[in-house]
Amino acid sequence: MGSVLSSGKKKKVKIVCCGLDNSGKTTIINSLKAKKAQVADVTPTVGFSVEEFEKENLLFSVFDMSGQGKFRNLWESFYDDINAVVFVIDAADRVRMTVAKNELDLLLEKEKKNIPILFFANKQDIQGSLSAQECSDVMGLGEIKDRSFNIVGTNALKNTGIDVGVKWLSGELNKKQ
Amino acid sequence: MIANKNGTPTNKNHSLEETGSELREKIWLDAWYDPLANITASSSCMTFCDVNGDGDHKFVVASSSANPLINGGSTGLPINKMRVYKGTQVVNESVILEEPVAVCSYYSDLKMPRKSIIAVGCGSFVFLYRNLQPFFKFTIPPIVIDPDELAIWAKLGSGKYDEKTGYDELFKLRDLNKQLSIRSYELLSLTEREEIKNLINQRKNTPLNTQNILTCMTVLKKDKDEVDAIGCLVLGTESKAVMILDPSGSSVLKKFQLQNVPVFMVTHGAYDNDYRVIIACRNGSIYTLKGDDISGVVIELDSQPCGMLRIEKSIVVGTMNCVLHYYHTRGKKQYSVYLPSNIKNMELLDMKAQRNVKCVIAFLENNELRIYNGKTLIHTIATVDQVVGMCFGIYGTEPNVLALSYRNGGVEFKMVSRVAKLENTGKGGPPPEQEIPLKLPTRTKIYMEQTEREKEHATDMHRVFQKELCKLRLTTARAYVKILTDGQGPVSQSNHMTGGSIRLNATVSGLGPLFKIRMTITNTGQKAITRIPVVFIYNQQIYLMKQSIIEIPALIPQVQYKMGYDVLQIDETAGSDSIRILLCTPQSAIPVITAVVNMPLTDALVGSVPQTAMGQQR
Ligand SMILES: Nc1nc2c(ncn2[C@@H]2O[C@H](COP(=O)(O)OP(=O)(O)O)[C@@H](O)[C@H]2O)c(=O)[nH]1
Ligand SMILES: [Mg+2]
Repeated sequence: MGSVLSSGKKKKVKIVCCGLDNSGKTTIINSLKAKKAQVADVTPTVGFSVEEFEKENLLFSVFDMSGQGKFRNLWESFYDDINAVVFVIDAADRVRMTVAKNELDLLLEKEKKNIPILFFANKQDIQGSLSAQECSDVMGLGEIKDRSFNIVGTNALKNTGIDVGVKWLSGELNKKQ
Repeated sequence: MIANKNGTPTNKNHSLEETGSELREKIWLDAWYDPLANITASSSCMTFCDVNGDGDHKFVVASSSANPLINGGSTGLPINKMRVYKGTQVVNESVILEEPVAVCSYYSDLKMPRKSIIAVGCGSFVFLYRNLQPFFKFTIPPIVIDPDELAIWAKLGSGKYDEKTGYDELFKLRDLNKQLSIRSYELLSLTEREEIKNLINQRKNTPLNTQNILTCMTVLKKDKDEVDAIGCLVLGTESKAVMILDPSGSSVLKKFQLQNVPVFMVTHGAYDNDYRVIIACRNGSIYTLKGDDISGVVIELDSQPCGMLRIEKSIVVGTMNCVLHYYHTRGKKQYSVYLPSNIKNMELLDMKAQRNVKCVIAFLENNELRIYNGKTLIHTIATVDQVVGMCFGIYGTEPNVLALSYRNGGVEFKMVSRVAKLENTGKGGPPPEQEIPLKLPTRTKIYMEQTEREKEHATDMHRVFQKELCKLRLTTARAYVKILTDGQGPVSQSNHMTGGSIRLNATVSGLGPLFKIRMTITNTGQKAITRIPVVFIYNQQIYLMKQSIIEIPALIPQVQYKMGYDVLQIDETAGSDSIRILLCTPQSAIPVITAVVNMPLTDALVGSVPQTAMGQQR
């Protein structure tokens, strides 16, 4: 498998990065990109933007969705055409955890192809934020039976944890081949 | 890291459809509940606003110290306080000197960043806060007292008027429909000359109280009716006045004098264009302010209001007789919704973001939080405790958040699900049950024959039935007459012997061996009866009474006579018996009333018979 990938034929995957506004989606995608392509200042995403980059022998095409209330139903229109979901949770935003859970429930209901989901429990650096395990409990991830998923605690500002998650995701995507 | 291995998609479609409908049925997402928040605030004392101008809306709540269920601060004394929440954290808390009446937030200027001003109304002041710091105090203009009333009190003070003249003069003023001070109304409510004199002597040398108290407060947009437009405070006062302040809060732009005390206000439009302020008063009248005038159209509610909201061009008023009335802002009644319990709180559910739906959230005394879209009940949930106040708005960056203040001092945030079904299902008309066919039993042969027979002999059957009914009635009437005349029942009819009717009720209390028979005798007739013998008939081997015949000297009509007589059970092994009480007249041997008292068994443990003896007898 490894030899096929290193031979230069890169598989292209499409991923939707969703999560409530201010959870750190844009920051995470930014830190995934090669150093030189990174944007210093992250501005709020309106609607969605597409980023393309290479990572873990996959050609990522990531839709960074706006998390503001009025754009949330946009996510749904993307589910038909994608290979994976990255769901970013602001682990420090305790009050809106229930809204994130509601969005996840809607996603699980709408997305019927059983594609893998990678959860980032972001902002682990902030004091009082929930750990990956606690986020998993609050979000009821134990109930997910129809697909593979993983949750990783991250700090997008320091770029910690993200690679672990992406490695898992590329493993899942390569398996599917 | 928590990961599951490739899951198996078992009967997925079926279960998904179910969750789908469930997700839509669910309206409230429970975000956060802090039972120990230790605040209580009415709906008018809460607001969501952008304090720092960074788009992050805070929850501002002014908590009253009046709730006995919540504890004081470090001093141990309950205090009035203003608290600011961000997420689950309290980011600011400050003391308010008086019981808060209302809290509003608005923009007073166009300076960037747009920071909300918080207005806290309490007593006769409105404090304005910017950056969470108080920077301005508006004092509600004092009540202007009628010069004639002042003159009367001056004369009372100097002794020129005695209390009679003073009282009469004030009475005349009231008859002229003059607005008087509370002290004068208090005086006029007295009837005894002595009391009037006391009140005058106590108070005549202190000046009349001119302090005016805030009753309600709201915000009217100044130049355009938009969310972030500049606003003006609108104040309602105990002096029955409504004032519109300028955006800085320093001067009164317009003042209106109503006939009643305003308690709820809603606004529509903008001050500079075509605005309306709709005011519900404590007595149940609803006035409308428009331009420079008070509109001639006054809505008279059938009960006192307990909340008022505006939905586009309708106003919704909840009243104390459990009704939600919908009116057009012009005053025309639209419809009413009758609720099963008292309305304790109302708030507007103004769904923002992807769609615009406006519903009424009503909290009822039976702990139900209901949502109505027009006439239709959309949703009901039970709450953990009585809701004392609620506020709907944007919290943080999340729209559609409901903050609830509970009687136990707790605070909760609930959010409306993005996909919540709030619209009218459009299924007016007959209820769904009407479509379900009734479960009729199949027609058997016997049933058919019976029906045939009934058809043929309908008249006869009816006649027989009527005859039997008559007979039954007659037997009943006879039995009743017998009871009344032979004195065997607990009620007597007026007859020639007593000249009145008597009601007797007897009960027995005690565990034994000493009991007490309690009798209640009422003469329900018109005339008093005298010298009534009462006889107790009982087994003298078992019971002992001091007197078995007593004589009641007189029974005055409509008075309840209560008497108690001791009965001692002398033979405690004899089980229980009943005692008959006969109420007679001196003229006749037939008792007027009889009551039978079934005596209870003497409790073996309480009784004087030793345990061992009891054991042997068994
Ligand atoms: N402390 C901390 N802040 C973060 C983290 N990730 C993102 N942020 C900040 O959160 C804010 C929102 O990030 P952004 O990527 O725009 O969120 P988006 O709306 O989901 O795209 C920005 O101010 C980021 O700097 C993190 O891991 N820790
Ligand atoms: Mg973004």
